[in-house]
Amino acid sequence: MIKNSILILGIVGLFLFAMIGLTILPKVFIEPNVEKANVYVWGRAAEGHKVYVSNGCIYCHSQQVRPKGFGADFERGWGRASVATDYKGLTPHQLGTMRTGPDLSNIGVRQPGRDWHLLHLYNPRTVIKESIMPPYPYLFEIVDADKTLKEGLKLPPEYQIPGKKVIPTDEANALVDYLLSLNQKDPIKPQQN
Amino acid sequence: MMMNLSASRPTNFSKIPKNKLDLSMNTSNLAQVNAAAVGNGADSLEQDARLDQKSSFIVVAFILSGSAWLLLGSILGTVASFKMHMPDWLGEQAWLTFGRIRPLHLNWMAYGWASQVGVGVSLWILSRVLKTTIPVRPWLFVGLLVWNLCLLIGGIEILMGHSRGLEWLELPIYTIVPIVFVIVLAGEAAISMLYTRKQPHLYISAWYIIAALVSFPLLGIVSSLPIFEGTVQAGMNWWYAHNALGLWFTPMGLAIAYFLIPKVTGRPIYSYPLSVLGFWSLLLFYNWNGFHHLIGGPVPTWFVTISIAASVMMIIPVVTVAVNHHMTIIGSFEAVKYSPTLRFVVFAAMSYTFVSLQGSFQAIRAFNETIHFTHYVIAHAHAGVYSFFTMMLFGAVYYIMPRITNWEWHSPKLIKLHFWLSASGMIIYLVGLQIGGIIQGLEMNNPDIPFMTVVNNTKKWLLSRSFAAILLTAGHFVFAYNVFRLMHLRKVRPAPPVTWLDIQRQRAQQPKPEPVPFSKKVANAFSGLNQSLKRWANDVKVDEH
Amino acid sequence: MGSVVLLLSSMLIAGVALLFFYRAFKSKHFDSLQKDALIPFDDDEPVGKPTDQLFKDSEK
Repeated sequence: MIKNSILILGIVGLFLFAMIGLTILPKVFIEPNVEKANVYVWGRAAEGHKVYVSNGCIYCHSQQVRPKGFGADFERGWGRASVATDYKGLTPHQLGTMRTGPDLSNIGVRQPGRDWHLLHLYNPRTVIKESIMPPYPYLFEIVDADKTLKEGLKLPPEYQIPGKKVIPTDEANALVDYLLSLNQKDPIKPQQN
Repeated sequence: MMMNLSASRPTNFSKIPKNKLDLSMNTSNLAQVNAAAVGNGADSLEQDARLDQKSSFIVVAFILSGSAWLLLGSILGTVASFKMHMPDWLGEQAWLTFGRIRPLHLNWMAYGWASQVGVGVSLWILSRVLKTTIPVRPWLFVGLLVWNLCLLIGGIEILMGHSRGLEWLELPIYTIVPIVFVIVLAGEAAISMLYTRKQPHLYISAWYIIAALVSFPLLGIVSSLPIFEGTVQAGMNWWYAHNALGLWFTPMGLAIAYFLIPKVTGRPIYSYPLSVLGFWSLLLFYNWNGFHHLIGGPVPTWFVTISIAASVMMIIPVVTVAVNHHMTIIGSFEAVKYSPTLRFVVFAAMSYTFVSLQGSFQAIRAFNETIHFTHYVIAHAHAGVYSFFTMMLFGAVYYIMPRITNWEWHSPKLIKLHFWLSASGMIIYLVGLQIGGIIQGLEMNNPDIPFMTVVNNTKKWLLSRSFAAILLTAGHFVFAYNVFRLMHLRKVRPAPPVTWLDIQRQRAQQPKPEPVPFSKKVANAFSGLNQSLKRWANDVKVDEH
Repeated sequence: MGSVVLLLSSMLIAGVALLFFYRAFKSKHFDSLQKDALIPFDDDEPVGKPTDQLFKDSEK
């Protein structure tokens, strides 16, 4: 007959043992190096990170590049192997576990054009016909063409709405700033308008 | 299945109170209640029936509540699945976007269906193996309401875009903390049963249930602490998520299997010492698996290697469990065939062996290189939470509900239908996404294949998953209907109510029917078909004129 | 350095585990383990009799 106390003690003991190993020890080993790193996300890109989280981009996109020789991440031009300092101060982390869409660690380098990102977010099939990415029309406003001087999106003919312009909201612009800031080579820079 | 019974009612608990929640019970008569319930050398089934009468309604409440979340979660899952190959469907609104529906599906299934029914079933099994009543805890009912409210509010927050952003932890902290607290209350009830038990030895199921109820609150609390950032947070994220599977769902599922397989087949567990080894090795190794979700990631390699080693060591507890369960089942095929419960439980137990060995393989770097980031992982996840845990819960519910409500399931055919919908749905799901995932991984690792080609090649497998989703959802509605009918019948049938004892006694008294030889069955089937065809031919003839 | 820490700590933990195991063994914990497998059974649902045979009863 096992004593109640031994059972509960054993369970808690083994639990704490692994908890320390997998959550406290990493904190102890990794965080000092991360603190010293000179990278951060700020300005509108930080707002964009929130939009990224709020729309669940992580469920199809990863932001961690595997080392050369492990998978084809390097050969596909997705970048160098990710390191802990790439994620300094980022919460919640968006490392991701699915690549329904490509890895985004260096998307700011691969797709440096603002307009491409705005079109792609409005409806991915405007730029990639066979994409299965969801559209985000609610990040945009549709206004009468003669009521605004702002530039509308340059949509392909089948997506144009006669007499209307599609204007990105602040959320869309922030998200694009964030995406454009995803760049492994340099410390994160703020984007100018 | 009509029940034509005279009321040979031995005791006075035929007066089932309308409101089962008897709040007049206070602690002073609790000792008497317990003593009366466990009885003085009376019939064991009577004892059990009395155990249930006093305490069962909380179990029913958890099961009913969880079943509702199952339906909601299934609809969400089906919608999410369709959106993956029909991305513009329901794509206008923010609250319907895939990135919000998908986490809601996960959270409502995990913390709604799986956790609630898990808690209910665990309390019932604990009461049976410890031979003591579930203690009267009125606040647990309030807790269940709070739990549901938190899921609802948390769900709305996710749909509005306020997800916490961590996989398996999307519900806002202010909704997770009350849920964890309710589980602490359930744990308190369970631990108090440890101290009031009439069975001095702890059966293996009790070990697993206590492990689950002790571990999950710790997991919930640590994962809610705001002290993690960056890759350290990613590590904590996957330590939590994997332990939610390994220390919360898995132990509850194994507890069910270890109780129901012997109970239904009538054979004790093959090797009890093996099960003790299995328990402690599970606790030792499973805890360390978390970082196998980050293989190749921005974490020091030696952390990852520890997790890979632990994942492979998991073969030890998995094989011990497999040996125990399968050796107990062998030779009892009839018992499996004729029991609705065991149909589900054996399917689940076999799935456990499969999914765990699959997991150990997935942790090995060579295989991981291919399947990481692919749909294969989703198949594995569903093999675990559905094919193993959910099927195990179905089996448990089909066993427990009649014994609590004193009514038998009204339609064995519907139970069979439920089983075949779930089993076939799951098999299609797993085969489709595993093949699709491996192809996706292999192609992604070939840099000559453009990314869009890889995506295009997954579309047919995603379509097969949607088909599976429809089958599974249909099965869940059949299950919910079965449960509803059982609860409804309870109120509709006139008194006196039937007790489980009466059913057993009636079955013992009935003469055994002559078994119909297989050839006769085939002949009957053909003649039936023949008649239908003749009738149809006649109708056609009539129509033609 | 890390590997030395790991080696020492795992030896320490293994030692503690063996100590617990030894004490459990000495306290006759393992002597009648297989008897515990009979806990789910009782007089009404004894060993050898399958229960919950709902589908059999419905085949009438």
